[in-house]
Amino acid sequence: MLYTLSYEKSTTTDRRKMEISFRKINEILWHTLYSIGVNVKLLIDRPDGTYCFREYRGRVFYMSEKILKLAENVGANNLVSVGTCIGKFTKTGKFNLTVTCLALLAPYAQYKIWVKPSAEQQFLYGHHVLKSGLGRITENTPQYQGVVVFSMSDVPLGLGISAKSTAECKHADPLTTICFHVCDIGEYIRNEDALVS
Amino acid sequence: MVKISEVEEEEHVLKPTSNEFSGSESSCAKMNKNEGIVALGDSPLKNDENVDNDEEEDDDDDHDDNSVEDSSDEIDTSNEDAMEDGDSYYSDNEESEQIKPTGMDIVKNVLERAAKEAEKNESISVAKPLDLEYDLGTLLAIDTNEMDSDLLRDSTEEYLKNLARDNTQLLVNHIWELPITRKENEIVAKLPPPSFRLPREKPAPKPKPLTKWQQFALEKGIQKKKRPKVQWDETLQKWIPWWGYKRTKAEREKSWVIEAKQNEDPMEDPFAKRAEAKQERVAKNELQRMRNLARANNVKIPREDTLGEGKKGKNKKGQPKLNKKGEPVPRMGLLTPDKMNSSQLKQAVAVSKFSTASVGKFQSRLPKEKERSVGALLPIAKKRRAPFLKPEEERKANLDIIDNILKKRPKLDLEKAVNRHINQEEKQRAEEKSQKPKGKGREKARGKGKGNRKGKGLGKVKMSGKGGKGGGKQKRGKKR
Repeated sequence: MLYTLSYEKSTTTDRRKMEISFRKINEILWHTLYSIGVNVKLLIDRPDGTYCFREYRGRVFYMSEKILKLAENVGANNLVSVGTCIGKFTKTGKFNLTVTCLALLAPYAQYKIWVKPSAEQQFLYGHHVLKSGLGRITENTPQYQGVVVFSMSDVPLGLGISAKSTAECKHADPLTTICFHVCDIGEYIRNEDALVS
Repeated sequence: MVKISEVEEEEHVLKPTSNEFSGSESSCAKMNKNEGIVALGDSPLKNDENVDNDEEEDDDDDHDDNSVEDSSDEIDTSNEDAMEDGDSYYSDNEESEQIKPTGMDIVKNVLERAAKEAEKNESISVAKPLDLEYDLGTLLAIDTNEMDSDLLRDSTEEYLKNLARDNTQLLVNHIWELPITRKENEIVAKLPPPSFRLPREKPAPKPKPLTKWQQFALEKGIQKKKRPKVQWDETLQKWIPWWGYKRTKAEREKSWVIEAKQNEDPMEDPFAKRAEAKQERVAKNELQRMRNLARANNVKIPREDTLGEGKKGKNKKGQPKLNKKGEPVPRMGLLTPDKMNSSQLKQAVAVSKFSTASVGKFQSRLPKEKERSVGALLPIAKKRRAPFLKPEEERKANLDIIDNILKKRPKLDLEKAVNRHINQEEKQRAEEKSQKPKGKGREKARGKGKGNRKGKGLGKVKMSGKGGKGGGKQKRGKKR
């Protein structure tokens, strides 16, 4: 939990501010569903405790109930980050997954794409995955499906959206885009200061 | 000026008249009775016979009341005086009986006196690692020394009381260093002007909002020139101020006659005309002042055309400007309520419908009219929000949402089904190929050709769970 030093304590309005609306949680769950499929249920129905979502400054955080209780002592203006940031709401109310959720979602991934070592860097620089860089792909991946991108040594590199279904991949040109880039772990360096605040 | 002590006072406690001390006054008096008192130190007035005589008696009384040990804490003005007078006068000391005018005795006497001096000073001198900060003008002493946390915890009252006494003593010592005079039987010290700046009670005033001219001048960098108050008038041959009754008087004096111009109407009264022009200028100035006020306070003011006066939107002849259609040209500025847009009109309709005794319940409605909630437009009581969910409830709610989502998702994904079908077909074909040893060579050749055509990249791609190219080598990927 990160917070700026201050004597300000959280108020009821602060708690209200962080509470997440039904519509928004719906949006979040749909998006995670796109990325990890039915496994999204496991994020909420966890055996090791109660986990919940909170929104703050447009960012959605996923945290255990214990951490939430601690965080509620901190005024909303001073809270920088709590739990895992899984994404953010745009000003128009759309939800985007951010790279910080990768560690959370990667183990549950339903559709995966493995990238060749030669194409890893391209992806980590924020480019789409081309056919030439495609190492493996999960069978039956539909088109425009949220996927988790792995390196050949099974290290999660980021999230993407399949631009072609598995069947289409087979006959595609080497320069066609197979997977659209959504986020990648290169952002931890490229986009460091925008990740949390 | 502060009154230091009263001659008639029974105890030698400083009784200041200033507010700063009024709170601690009672505690000071109490201290005096129980333990030490705030001693007055070396009074510059100790030679004053009047004071001495009175105090002597008091001292004696005190000694009778208190035990002998206590006496050391108190000021002994009488002893001081005795010493000053050359050992001739002692009020209550045992040593006084032994004094004889021998050499040894004189030395002894001197030593004793020194000891006494030290003892006396003990009560008025307070040792502090750091000097206090004083502002005698406000009778303020600030102790920046660290507090003894152990003592403070163990015997809070005692410790604080002692600390207060010591600090007050130090302050009083400093007061005695000031020039002291006597006025109407009272010892009075002249305090220096206060130097400590008390923090202000109210927040600092906000800067005044600039007028339109001030803002303009600021942007343009126009600076106000200093102008002398008066100005030399050639016709009157005297100095005339720029404003005020003298200026008006001079103006009247100066322009008792106005030359009629040729192109002017001879029947018009030029004096009346001028008075009117002046009035108009005053009115304009007043209007601009009001505008500035309105701008400063964010108040909307009606447009000029509703006021009926002003130059804007009118041509040179003073008639309103017209567009091609012959309508008056709309001008810049604030909107008037007579030109509301559709949403404003709808709001107005909603509010007026709502403003009945039955809160708009029985108002007739247009066939396609939507019901508009007035709550957003009027300051009606806000809706109460649902209470906070407990984590367990929240989890259940979230699970419900997920179940709902999963339910909504189409069971049969057409694309997926098609893909699966294609996949199965390909598998089948691959199996057939591998089962036909005869056609192996041909198949291989075709596979190679394909690889060449499509480029190097394709050949390396391994589709998980599918037959590899040509050879039927299967690499199983992760299947969910």
